[in-house]
Amino acid sequence: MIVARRETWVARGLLIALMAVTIVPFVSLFTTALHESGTYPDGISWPSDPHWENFLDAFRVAHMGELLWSSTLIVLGVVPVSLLIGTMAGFAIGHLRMWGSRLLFLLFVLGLTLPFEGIITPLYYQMRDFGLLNTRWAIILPLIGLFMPFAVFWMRAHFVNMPDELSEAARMDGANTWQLFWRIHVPLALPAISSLAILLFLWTWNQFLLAIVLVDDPAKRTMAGALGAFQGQWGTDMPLLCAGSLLILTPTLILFVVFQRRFVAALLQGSLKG
Amino acid sequence: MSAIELERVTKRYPDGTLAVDDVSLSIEDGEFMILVGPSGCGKSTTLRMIAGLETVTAGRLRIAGAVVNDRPPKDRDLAMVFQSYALYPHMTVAKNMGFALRLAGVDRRRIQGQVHDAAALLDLLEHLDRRPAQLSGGQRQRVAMGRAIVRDPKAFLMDEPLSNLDAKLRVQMRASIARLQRRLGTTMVYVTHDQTEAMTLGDRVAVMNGGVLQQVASPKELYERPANAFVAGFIGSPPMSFFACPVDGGRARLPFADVPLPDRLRRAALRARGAVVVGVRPEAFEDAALVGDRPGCRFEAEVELVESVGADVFVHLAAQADGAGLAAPGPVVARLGGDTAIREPGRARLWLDAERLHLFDAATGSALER
Repeated sequence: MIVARRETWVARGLLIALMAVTIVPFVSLFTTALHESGTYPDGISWPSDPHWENFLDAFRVAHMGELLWSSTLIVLGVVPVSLLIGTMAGFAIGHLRMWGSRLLFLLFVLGLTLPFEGIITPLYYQMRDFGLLNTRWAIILPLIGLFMPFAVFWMRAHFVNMPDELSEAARMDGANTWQLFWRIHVPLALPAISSLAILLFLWTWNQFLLAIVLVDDPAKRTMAGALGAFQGQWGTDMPLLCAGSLLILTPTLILFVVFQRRFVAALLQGSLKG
Repeated sequence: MSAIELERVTKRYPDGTLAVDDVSLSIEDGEFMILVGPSGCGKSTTLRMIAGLETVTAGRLRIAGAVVNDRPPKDRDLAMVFQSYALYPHMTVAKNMGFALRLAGVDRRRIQGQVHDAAALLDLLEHLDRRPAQLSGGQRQRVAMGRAIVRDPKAFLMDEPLSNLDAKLRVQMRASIARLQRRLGTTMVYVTHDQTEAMTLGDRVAVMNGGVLQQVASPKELYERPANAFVAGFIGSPPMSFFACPVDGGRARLPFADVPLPDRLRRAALRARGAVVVGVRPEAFEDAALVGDRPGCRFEAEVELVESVGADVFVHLAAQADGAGLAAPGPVVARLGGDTAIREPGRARLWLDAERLHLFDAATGSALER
């Protein structure tokens, strides 16, 4: 494709501007994190005496070691179950097209429009009645349910594009529906499943609201929930909060670097014919 | 015994579309049966009903004597080759071919042996570890065949298996499918819209149109004694020309000549109560200079176009076939021997074998001389 030189420069300029908009908050976080604990630095400024120990302090103050473990437990509770149920439901709705699947899909799509914050109060009472408040289950179970509309929507988009002849061939070969799912469709859906896994991991890892509202014990929250530790009754320790935020971001950033290609594929899924 | 029998089988979709209408067809054990017809004629639906991929709305379907209307595909012991091949993209050729056996719980060593034998038969041994994406169209087609034969099923069902191949490969694969079927001796039901495949492959050919079975016969009989104008027009290339034509005093008044009819056709014309349609195949013509004194009708006609394809020369006459409401109107095409001297448009002296004319009832389209 031949693109005019002017167009190329405009595109590059736009990309640089977008990059700046994305990077500036991180730079601000980073420089603030290096200021002396308890101060309120102005804008982006490099401190004369960088306090690298802030990261260590933040890790200690917010009990990040415990939270890392807690977050891992929550992710392990949420992501595999959501993937399993989402994939099976997506297959049933998108490929098996069983009776009532359109209506069911519509219900899931409606679920996508539901604002997360809108159901937090009923969720609180529900969890209290189940006796699950202040346990990790109070985060895990609602998250599985809350992720279902997206997971089903995502997996259905994959299965709806799978050719019927593939399933017919498998049925002629003697496969029942269960074997058709596990032996043919799940292996072929691995790209879609892994993209979904990454997104669900991110959303679980960064889950803040549920952790803050439903779990009082900071040690049972997610990493993101740890940010609450820096907010005192009389004020907020900005440098430590920024250092803590960067620490919380680190696993996500590592994940992004490792699965960079998969991320792009996930975001582009469905935009081009496979 | 693995005969397949369709007894008054009908398929109506929930939206009311009648795809297959009251079809009765008996496919014998070991027979190579072709289902042929234009797009939407119901041939693929019929095959899919046999496979169990479509339900049967009415009628009975028997395989090896047992009624299988309600049996799922996996319990019918049939193997199918799809138009798109439908190979499993994530499996190697060997795993694709052995998949059915793995599902059936056959032990690993026996699977390996059977896959190896089928791969040897189809010249696929060196590709066993490859995935479908790494194979050419012809190789994929062979893998699809291999997946079917490795199971030793009661019958093979083939849904236009060659239509995605280029012309040359199609001819090669056609020959190898014919050899394979003869070697295995397994019942085969083969769907195609390509009449060359239908005529060259099948023991018998079932011609369908609009969901209705038109005729089931050997390729030779279909060609020589079509049951109706649809079969006559569908089988043969270029197609038969049809003329709504008065028959007076035993002569058919065609637009390019008055042709005296032989007694057999004269009697048939008399039996028709209404108007008669005359059908002429391009092969019934010849260059008058090439036939010597063979009996037939000699006439002069205006030639508009001459197409030489080497062994044959196709000559388009200026006279038009009106189709008689049974087929689309079009030019009358004559197929002449390759050594004809007619090479340019203009007046030409041709010969027509009156014995090879066909007569049809104008109202029903049925053949009159059968």
